[in-house]
Amino acid sequence: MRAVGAAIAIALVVIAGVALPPYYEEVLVDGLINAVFAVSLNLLLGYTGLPSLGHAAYFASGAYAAGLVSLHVTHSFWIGALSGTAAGAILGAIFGVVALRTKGAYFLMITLALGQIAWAVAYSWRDVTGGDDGLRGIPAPDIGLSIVHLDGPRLYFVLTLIALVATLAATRLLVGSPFGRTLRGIKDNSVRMGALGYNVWLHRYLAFVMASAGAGFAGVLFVYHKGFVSPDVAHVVTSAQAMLMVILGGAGTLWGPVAGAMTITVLGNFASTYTLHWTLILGLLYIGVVLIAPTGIISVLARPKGSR
Amino acid sequence: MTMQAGERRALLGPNGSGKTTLFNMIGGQTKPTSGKIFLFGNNATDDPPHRRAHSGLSRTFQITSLFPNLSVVENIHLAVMAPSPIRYAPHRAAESYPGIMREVEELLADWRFAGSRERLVRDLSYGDQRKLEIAMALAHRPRLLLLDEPTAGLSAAETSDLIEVIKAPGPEVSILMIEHDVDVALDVADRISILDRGRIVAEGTAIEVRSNQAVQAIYFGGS
Repeated sequence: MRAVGAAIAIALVVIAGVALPPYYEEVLVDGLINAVFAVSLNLLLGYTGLPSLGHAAYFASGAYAAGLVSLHVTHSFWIGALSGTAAGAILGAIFGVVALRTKGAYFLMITLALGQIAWAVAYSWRDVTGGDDGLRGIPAPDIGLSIVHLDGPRLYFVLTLIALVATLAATRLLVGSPFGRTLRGIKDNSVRMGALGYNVWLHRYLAFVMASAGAGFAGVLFVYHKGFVSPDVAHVVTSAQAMLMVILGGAGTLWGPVAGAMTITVLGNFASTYTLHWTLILGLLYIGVVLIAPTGIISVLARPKGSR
Repeated sequence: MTMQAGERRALLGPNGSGKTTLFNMIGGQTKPTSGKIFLFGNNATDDPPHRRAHSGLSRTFQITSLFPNLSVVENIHLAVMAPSPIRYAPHRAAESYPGIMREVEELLADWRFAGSRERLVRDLSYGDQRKLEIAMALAHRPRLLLLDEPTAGLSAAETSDLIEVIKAPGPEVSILMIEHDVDVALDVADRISILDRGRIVAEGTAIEVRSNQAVQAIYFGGS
């Protein structure tokens, strides 16, 4: 049943991407990139139970790294993607040591602070990041197939769709693996996990680094899509929006963050054309979800068998 | 306080005497302000709980500590995986390890949980939860098992079932048990330690402890 639903969802997105005019395709690609970002945050928030409010730091790290590689080294998509993902992972490895000294609300605050540090570095390190001007004129990436160049929005749409599907497949494998099971155990009762013999800190740290790598990858997709990156991508607002996407769609489910990301991206784009108050609508939407369906859209649509 | 290998020791004492605190120090959940913990001859005072588990320590908690939002089989699976290096494997399905899955099935059968394997732990009866916690504590064949008030809140029938379970393991498992029910303690234990206000005030066989005047004062009031 789930596979059929997933196939239908992908098919709908593909049809939308092919049938709609280029502006809408742009919005869809934004949604797909946000979905990759939200899926990476879900690993921390939904599966491990670590509420990070600074996940944009790793997204930015990936975006800037890929942007710099593209401007100064090579147009190769693969090298840029590898650099960006690694940049996300490395920053996660460093920040994770600090963040994981805390839990719960303190973790939320520390990750927020670390995210703002990343924003401040992006803002002030003009020589490398371009400061508040950011990096501009990043060329379309070369995926190494001579007949295909990704300067057409249609082809970039296909690339981001494939990237999302690959990210989801990797996440599904991870969640069903022994390591994934330990994360769920840690979320449910970390004291019991420690008493059973699990090194809770180490499992959390590894999850943190993996999630940061995923965010870095999303940053890579972002910078090649826009051709531009500025410090805003590291800001707490970006982190908070990702958190809302995960929660709205359903934390701890595979498709929840995708649904949340697509919904918020699409709604946000259309609402912004009619009103200046999109963030107000977003806030009300969030309140609505928390009151009516706190486990998110996906959990409501796919009521689990058993207890209810 | 010292225990011999294979011993069954009951830890008794009035409320607030520090029994669970002692357990938390042996288990590593709390750091002692002074003194040392030696497990199996090694100084474990600075070891985190997971390292103590790997050296052979296992425990239950005063308030049942399981994974309430996971099913019975998922709970047992986590207990079985704990000592194995595969717990770090990110690339294969958890069910694809036949050795682990066989152990899980054996435990489900031995402890008679096969019928409720898919039930969420939070939907189990209190007695079943207590039983599951002990099953999981014994899953990786510990050398020392700490039981914190295992029969608390159980009916008479459930209590006698649980006592059989506790008496079942052989001398390769040492058991240290906190109990309020003196009859249960006497049934299971070879030796008894009495704790009062953070100090061991008496230790010995049941007969020795019963006739100890300090113990009588604690339980029945001073003269």
